[in-house]
Amino acid sequence: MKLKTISFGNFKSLYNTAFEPGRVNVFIGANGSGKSTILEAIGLLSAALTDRVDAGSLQRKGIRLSTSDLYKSAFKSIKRKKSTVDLSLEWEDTETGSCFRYDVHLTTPKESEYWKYHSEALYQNGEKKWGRSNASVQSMNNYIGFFLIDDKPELMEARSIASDFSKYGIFQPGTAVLRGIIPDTNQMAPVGLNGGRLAEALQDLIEEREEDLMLGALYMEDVLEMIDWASDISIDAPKKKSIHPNVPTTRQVIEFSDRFMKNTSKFTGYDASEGALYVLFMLCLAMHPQSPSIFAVDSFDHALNPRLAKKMIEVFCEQIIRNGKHVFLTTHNPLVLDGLNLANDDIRLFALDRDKDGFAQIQRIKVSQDLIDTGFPLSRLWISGRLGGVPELL
Amino acid sequence: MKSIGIVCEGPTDYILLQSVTDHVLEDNNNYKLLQPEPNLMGEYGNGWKGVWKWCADNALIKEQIMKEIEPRLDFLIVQMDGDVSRKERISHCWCDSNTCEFKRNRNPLDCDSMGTNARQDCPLTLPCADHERSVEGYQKHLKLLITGLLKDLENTCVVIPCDSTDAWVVAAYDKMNHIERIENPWETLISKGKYYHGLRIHGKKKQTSTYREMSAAVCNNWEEVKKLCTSAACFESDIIRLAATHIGELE
Repeated sequence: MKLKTISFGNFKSLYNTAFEPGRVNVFIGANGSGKSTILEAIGLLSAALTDRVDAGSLQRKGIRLSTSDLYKSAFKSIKRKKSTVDLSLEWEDTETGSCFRYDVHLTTPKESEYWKYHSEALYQNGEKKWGRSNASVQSMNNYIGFFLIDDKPELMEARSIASDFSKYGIFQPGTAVLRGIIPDTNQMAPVGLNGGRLAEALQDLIEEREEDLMLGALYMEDVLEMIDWASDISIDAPKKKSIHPNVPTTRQVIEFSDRFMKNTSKFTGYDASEGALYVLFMLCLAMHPQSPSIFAVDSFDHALNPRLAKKMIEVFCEQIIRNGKHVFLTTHNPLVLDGLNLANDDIRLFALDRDKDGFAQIQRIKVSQDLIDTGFPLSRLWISGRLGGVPELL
Repeated sequence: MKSIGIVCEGPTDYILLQSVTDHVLEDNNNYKLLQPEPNLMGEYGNGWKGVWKWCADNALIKEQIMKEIEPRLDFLIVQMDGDVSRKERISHCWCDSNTCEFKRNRNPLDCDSMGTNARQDCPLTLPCADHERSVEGYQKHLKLLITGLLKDLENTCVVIPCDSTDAWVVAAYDKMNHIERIENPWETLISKGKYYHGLRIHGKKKQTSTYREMSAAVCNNWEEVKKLCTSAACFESDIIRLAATHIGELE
């Protein structure tokens, strides 16, 4: 399955915009330009595709809950406010070559906490295969997406998109959760949106293969190159000698050995650098067989040294593409851009800017091979303003 | 809709140039605010020296910067205020009358770092003997300076508002004759009181929110502004030329 186009209408700052995603999609933009809103709008779409849309389903996906009116665009220039939030998704089934489009128009909750399906439609290769409007017979229960539950056999191929989107979430790891001090309020398998149960997820990935210690598809040695102070990573039950009795802990903990210290002095994620935990978290998302096939990470570079962020995105892209996943990332770190190989069409960079009316506009950035060959880094082009996605400051 | 890169002295200039360009071309264009990389001391990232530095740094790769990144830039607008020619001696350091021993051998921006007495020791005098002390003289001098760096202006509009872009604002609100000859209109006219034509002026610093309102007034009175400011009239004809060239390219 390959996503082709995602369109948004009347959702917060996304009044009317669309983009064509690749496998790895990186969004840059000034603060408040609408980057996180894109991740949320995709979350809303995923809820509409796979679940009923209500506060619970949105919260599980990491979407900030707003009051009903705040979900809809309220720009000064809009003369007549639209009543629905409009979302559309186009995708291709790479096995059959069929192209699908799902359109949904949702009304924000009023009396209850449920969003209403105003209308839905499914197209296969341009031909309408299924649909319902506010007036049709199937509108009886318009709190439930009928696309999901209509079990007509001819819809089966199209409906597989729902399982791809079902685990979509906006991951935003928190240091305290990664350290195991506080529980993850958005726990899911294999890791929670804030990094809960990372140790257990890593345990699934660590294995010895032909005398090499592996973390998923990566040699542990390669992982340790990114966490350069560590000489070993293992998962174990917490021990008295490595965790202070006043510190809360989890059933499993990540243990690190520091290459500068004696072998006996192992310490846990509680004491490790947060950058190391972020690296392991990202690798887990990219490689764990149970991790979502479509997901988002807000502030990918959080807590990472610029050079580590560059290396991390290179490895992350490789694993996402290898595992056939789709990911949507936001970043404020220019060095992340230098780790993107834009010559690979699966890796796409988008700049977000508000237009004159304040509508968020998404523009894909493409750079010619000639310019790449000159050695002019993307980070410089971004900072200099040429890519857009910067505030109007000088 | 066109994609336009703007190299300018500051954010308020950017706001004004965007509004006027949209107004003249009757379109909502897509803009990129291009900024030079500051030096290691954090200098020359904005102001007229920032504009100078952007032109110097990017002269050789200007075409690549414009055309080899999508969305491509259809044309560039480079703005430098006319007061630079009036006030800044180092902007004249390539003039024939300059007898400085470092002429053409040294980046003019380095003059500032050549010791504490660099400015006092500078052999240049103002008004520069090679340039007429007039609006036309300032514009000609600074256009030559920028052309000397960028060489080719085929897809570039150089705009030199005199004494600064604030003159266009005063022209719009006060319809004042000879406004381009008035030095520092922001301090002498606009920010003299707490209010300027009902707009609250917060201190001496230009605020972008105030300038957004002022830009609308400049657009609403654009015909008048053009009559009173030669730089505005030149700017209009230049961007119309560039926009027409772009349409020609598409055809």
